[in-house]
Amino acid sequence: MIYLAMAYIIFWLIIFFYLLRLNKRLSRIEDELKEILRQKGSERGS
Amino acid sequence: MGYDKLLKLMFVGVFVLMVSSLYMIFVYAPVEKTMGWVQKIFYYHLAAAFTAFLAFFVVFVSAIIYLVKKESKYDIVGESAAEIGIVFTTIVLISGVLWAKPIWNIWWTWDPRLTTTFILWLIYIAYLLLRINLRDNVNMPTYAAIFGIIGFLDVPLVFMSIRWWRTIHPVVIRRTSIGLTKEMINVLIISIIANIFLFVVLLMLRVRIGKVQNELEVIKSIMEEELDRSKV
Repeated sequence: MIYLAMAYIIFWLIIFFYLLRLNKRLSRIEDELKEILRQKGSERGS
Repeated sequence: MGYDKLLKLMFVGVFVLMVSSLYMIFVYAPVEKTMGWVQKIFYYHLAAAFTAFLAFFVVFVSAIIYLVKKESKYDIVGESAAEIGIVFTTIVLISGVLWAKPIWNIWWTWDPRLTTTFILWLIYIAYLLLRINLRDNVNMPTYAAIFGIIGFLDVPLVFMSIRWWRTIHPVVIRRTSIGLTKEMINVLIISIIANIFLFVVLLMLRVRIGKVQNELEVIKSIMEEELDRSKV
């Protein structure tokens, strides 16, 4: 029974960590985009 | 229907299918006489294996289309499917190990099925490493596509390994019969559908991130060019 529980828990843990990794990648893209917009804004301002 | 709405609907679909499959596995499916409760690992083990094969097939097809059309969207699909294929192969390997211990009394053995599956996992990790290492090379998508096509040759080998060589891994699905009861087949079908749905949702998400990442790279290179020009 312990092996069965472990198998299903690990299945969801792997999917969860993969989704977390995708989310991290998305946040990084968002940060880079914000940085570009900030640079563009300061260029126009000057 | 918009992409976001479709994705949300797919998420709901995955949730419903996953909950139904878990209910069917633990409540509806009969307990196997010889192995007992631990046999229930089988439903997600096989479903994850089927989904991994599907993911690598997507890599294979998108690689062929990329080589013909040379459009970056097929390269992104290939990369995304390979990544998700590795996720599902990892699940197959771990659930297999957890099933092997109580039944074979050993965590791992270099059986043809286990070995070819492990090689499959390594092939697609190598595929992603190749992409990372050749990131700045303009021919990287072409090399990755060729790698993706050759790498797929291991998938039929994994499938046929238990039929061609002597192995301790059971052959459940034969040409003439399936070694399962009617209830077990129903649960297996639902589990496979749930896993495929999960794969499609993950693929949609990952492809979208890949596309945005590509657009960002284009914007960055344009900005760098502008900066260089302004310096001159």
